[in-house]
Amino acid sequence: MLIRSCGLRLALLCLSAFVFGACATVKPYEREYLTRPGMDMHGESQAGEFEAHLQSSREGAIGGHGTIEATGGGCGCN
Amino acid sequence: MRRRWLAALWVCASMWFVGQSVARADEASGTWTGELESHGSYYLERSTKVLVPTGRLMLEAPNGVRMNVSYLADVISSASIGQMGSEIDAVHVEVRQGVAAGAGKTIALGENEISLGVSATHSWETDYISWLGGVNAGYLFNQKNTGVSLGVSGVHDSIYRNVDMGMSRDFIGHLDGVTLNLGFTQVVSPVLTFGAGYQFVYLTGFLGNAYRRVVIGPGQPERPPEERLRHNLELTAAWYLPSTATTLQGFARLYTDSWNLNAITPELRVYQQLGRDFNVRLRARYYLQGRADFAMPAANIGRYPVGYTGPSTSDPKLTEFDSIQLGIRLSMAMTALERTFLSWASRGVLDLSFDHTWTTVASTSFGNKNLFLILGGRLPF
Repeated sequence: MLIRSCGLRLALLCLSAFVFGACATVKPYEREYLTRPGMDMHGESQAGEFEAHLQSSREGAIGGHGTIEATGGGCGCN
Repeated sequence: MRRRWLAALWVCASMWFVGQSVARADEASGTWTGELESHGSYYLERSTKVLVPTGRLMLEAPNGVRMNVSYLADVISSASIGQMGSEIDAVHVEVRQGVAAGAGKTIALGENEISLGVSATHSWETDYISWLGGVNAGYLFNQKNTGVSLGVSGVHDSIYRNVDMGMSRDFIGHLDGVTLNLGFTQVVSPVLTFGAGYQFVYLTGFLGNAYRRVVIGPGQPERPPEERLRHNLELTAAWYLPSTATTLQGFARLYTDSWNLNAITPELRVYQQLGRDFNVRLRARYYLQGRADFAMPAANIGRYPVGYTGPSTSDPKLTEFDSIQLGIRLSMAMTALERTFLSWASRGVLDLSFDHTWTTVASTSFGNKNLFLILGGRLPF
């Protein structure tokens, strides 16, 4: 219940941000800061993939963080 | 048959991408660009050690076609597998190897662009063979401030008993699955971005562990349901602070599945630039999950009433627990090599990261804490 309540509020908060944010247009010459470390959500590619694989063998919830594949590769990642 | 279908799909798609010709910045010079990436990962918990060397080569052709290949060797030594429910501890060592390949292309459509890609992964060990394949597409519009993406992938795994543990290599079953990914990104301002994603996964087949036992009178193999539907909603945001060269990155994942297991995962990362060459990333991750509806409470994992005939499991990751992960990563740009005979490596970056996780589930073979160490680097060319 706690999980669902917190999750719903967080989802609504972020959805509001998307709706308001969609009005903005950032010009190409204003994009310098968008290339800085951390601004790319999936920038830790190979190391991040293995960490996700480890987590999938120790946590019931898997996926997210840009994961493309569902499961597989042993490790009890069911 | 499915393996051949996946391989044929990947080869055909790759040939189509390679055959396309759209003007790119480096098409005139015919220059190929790319990146070589390699990492060594070490994972340690109470009864398991994992050592994983990995390597990846990414290339971009003059006509804009992107290709990548990667390899990993996953060396696992586990006392918990070796123990197999007996009172005598034993260490079992297993090697998983994996290869992956992908291809993609970005096509400009005026101010907008569309990107297409395919990927395939094959991994194998003595008791597990896995095939994965997927296709994905993305569209950037609104002067590339807004993006949507779609991905579909499939998995086909085969599970056997382990010959290294003195068993005959009996076939146990298949695990098949399909994943659907939907993504949305929005640049809100020159220093702020948001993202959202939804992932649906359908799995069917053998969803347990061949070696885990449950207690229903005499010990028996666990018997989870043969179907699982997963739903993931992820929300991300990144905010750059120019005055201090700091990036704040937030991530939240909401998860539920058909086994009635619910979880929430908030995570905060702080990236701090230190001078020209160094960047430090601090992270804090919290994970909270409930219990699958057929799993026993954490204090009594895998113990069912005598005569129980429903689905069963002794899998600690299907019971209720929470965990906290703290981590640090140091990245160092190799620009100091610019004026040396190693100048070819001066565009590279070295990474060193360390993570520690604490969990509330202490009464299982997983233990209640683990360490995770990664050393590696990337070299663009």
